Amino acid sequence: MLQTAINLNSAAALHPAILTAASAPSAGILQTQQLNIHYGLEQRLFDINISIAERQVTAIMGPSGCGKSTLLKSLNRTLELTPGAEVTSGSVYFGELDIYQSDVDARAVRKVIGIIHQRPQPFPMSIEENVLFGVRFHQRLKRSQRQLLAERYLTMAGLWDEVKDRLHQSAHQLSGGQQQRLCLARTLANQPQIILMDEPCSSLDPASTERIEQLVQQLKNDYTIVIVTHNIAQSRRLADQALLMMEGRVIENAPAAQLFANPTTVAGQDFLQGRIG
Amino acid sequence: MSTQVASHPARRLGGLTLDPLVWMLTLLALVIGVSTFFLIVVYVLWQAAGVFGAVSLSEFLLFEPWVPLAEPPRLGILHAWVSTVYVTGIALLVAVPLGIVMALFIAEIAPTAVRNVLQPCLEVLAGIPSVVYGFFGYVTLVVWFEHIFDMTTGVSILAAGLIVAVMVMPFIVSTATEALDAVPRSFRETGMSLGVTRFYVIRRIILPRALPGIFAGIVLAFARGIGETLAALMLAGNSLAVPKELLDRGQTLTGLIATELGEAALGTEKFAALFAASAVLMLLILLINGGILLIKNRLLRHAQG
Amino acid sequence: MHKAEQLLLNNRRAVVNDRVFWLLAWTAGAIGLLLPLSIIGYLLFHGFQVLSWSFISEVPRGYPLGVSGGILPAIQGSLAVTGLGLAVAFPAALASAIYLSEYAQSQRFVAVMRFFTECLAAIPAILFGVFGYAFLVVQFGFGISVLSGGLTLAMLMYPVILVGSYSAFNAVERPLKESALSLGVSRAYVIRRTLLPKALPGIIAATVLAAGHAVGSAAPVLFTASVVQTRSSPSLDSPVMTLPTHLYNLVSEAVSFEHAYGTAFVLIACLLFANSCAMMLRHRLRK
Repeated sequence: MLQTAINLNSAAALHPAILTAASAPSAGILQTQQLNIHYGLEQRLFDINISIAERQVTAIMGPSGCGKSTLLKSLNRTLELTPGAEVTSGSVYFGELDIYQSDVDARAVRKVIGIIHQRPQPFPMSIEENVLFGVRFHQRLKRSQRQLLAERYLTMAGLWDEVKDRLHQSAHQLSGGQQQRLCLARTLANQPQIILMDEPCSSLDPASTERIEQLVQQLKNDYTIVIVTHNIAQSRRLADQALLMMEGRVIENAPAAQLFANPTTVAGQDFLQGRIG
Repeated sequence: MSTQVASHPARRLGGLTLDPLVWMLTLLALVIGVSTFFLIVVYVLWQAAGVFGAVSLSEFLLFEPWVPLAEPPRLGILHAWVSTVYVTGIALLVAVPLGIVMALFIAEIAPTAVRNVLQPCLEVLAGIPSVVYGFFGYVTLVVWFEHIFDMTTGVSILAAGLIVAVMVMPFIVSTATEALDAVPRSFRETGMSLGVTRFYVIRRIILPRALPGIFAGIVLAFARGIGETLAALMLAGNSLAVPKELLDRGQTLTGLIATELGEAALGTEKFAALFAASAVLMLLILLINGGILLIKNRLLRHAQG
Repeated sequence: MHKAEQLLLNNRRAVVNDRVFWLLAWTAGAIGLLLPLSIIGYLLFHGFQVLSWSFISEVPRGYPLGVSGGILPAIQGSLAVTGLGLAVAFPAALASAIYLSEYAQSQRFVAVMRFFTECLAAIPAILFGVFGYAFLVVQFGFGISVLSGGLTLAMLMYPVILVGSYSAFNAVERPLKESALSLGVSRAYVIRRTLLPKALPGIIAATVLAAGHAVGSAAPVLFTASVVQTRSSPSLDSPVMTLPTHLYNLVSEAVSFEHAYGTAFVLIACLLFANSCAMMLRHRLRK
């Protein structure tokens, strides 16, 4: 189990050179093959085959209940934290490694592929402790390193200027938008390769939403981003690649401009024109 | 005008209902029921006051031995409360760590099916009568102690403490489980999604959140432990000496009261002294319980907030 | 590469911690399961060997009393004191719960009453015994009798039944109450027709648990109701034998451990009966 953890992380550390060399040019950094997911006895996802391109923003759209969050969570093995949810067949390849292989450490996967949840969930501790929550698990930190690291990732999440005077106060004092950026800083501090975002703006006001969207635009220079959204306008603004899901299946998968201009299915047209919510 | 209102249909219907009668009877039941609490408290304190003609508070608690038949009677309860502290201390020392880990198991790790079996089992453990626990300790622990420690009789502070530990443990488990369950589930999922272990999430997030509730449970368990009677009476050894070691015999406050009450006549100083011992026990337990009840909501909010 | 090794090293420590914790937790869980099973199993196993029809149906015999014969008077006595206690505590507690959940106007009053009720429930059993002895047996002159013991047990059970019934009433959905009241009928009618039937399983569960607890409780009846030996069948003004005090006498006077096992068996059976009743009722309530 530990052995694989090295493989995964060293592959990640040496990335992108190896991966791009080894894979066909069309292959993405993250790929699913015939992925099927059940909640208890009920099947939620059917034969998902998608490929996520590196350093791009991929948007997953679809009406509520279509399985987009389920798909997203299956990409970094956080799905199995939900009782009853299970990947019943298929694989998810990160580079050349199937992350559902029995000897892969789910914790290592979650570190390299971070996730931001729908509702910001700051932990009941100080702002600095929140940012360093994952880091302090993955490596020993000297006291002097702490503030430095906190500053680096809070800056990346665009929050530093707002909180630099109250790093040691409770994170619950922050506004919703600030909390979501704190969660982003917390995920960034884990030094991931890929960031999954599960409707990160759905509980935020328009101004905070705009801040997050700006951050996504900046971050895609260094990270691969997969964002689940209910909001068609948002995916128009952000996405390079777009997927459309319906009832547990991917029905459209194309570069964003193409998908928005010419949806190939009737359901896709209906969704994009707002006839299906 | 007033006759019109009085003859209004709504008015008449109201006059026919049983409500005023039921209202009065239920209120009466409540007032009588709850006033037994005050009756007990006031009566015990009133009877206890009689002892302070014979001894001062400090003599009663700290200096005098218990020799009620001496002339004049010597009425100190030092040995009793030292025994009580010993027995309850041992009980908590064993039951607290075990109980907390068990609660963590139930709340964080156990599959639902296991949890659904374990919790009723612990409920049964909590329901076993004190006298049965005393008997069980007598035929198991006490016998083992006689073998292991080569004692003439195995009854001891330690035996009483261990059995009281088993008695208060289910209580610690249930209050700690309640406190852990009050911590929002989302903390666990979000914490784990950062690639850390379950133990790390528990240590950094969940335990700190639940700690006040767990602490309240421990304090309440202490109050239960010191009020425990039959098991302590049967296992501690009923010795009037102040216990010094774990294997010494002793007599808890409750044991003292249960042993001597039947032979004390109303109005005597010994009777008053037993009431004073009861009063000490009662006040301590009420202070603990009252205090915890008053801050309980704040503690639960701490976990949820 | 260097970075990956560092990560592995620290991960290993944390992963080991996690495994150790996991192991400890399962061990604690196993203890939590085995401890009740072994204690109950041990007592039932030994008790079962003593148990016979004559043990239940005969009076204690022999010298010292209890080495042979049965425990019939103790069973009768326990039933008498607990029955009397229930007869007093149940209506009082039920009425109090009805007042608190349906009639009381001020939330503050409800909170204060609940506070004192829970304080009453916190008083240890021995103090009820002390109070019952001095107040009922001696001061009121009821003597050591079923009456004194029953009233003492009533005080012990009252707060438990009250708190249980109150939460059973509160668990009934608000809309049900409100829509029933909106039909213009009296509160008493609503209570009788809709609330009581809905809350009944919860009320009975609390009552059965309280009674099960009272049957096994020796401290309250030790000085108020029980004697080592009786010949007559229980009456209000006579002392009785009870199961827990009989067990206490058998052990503390080292009369007969065999009969002590048998008596403990009967007490445990009462407990298991009460608990499974309560569990079944609660299960029904959830449906």
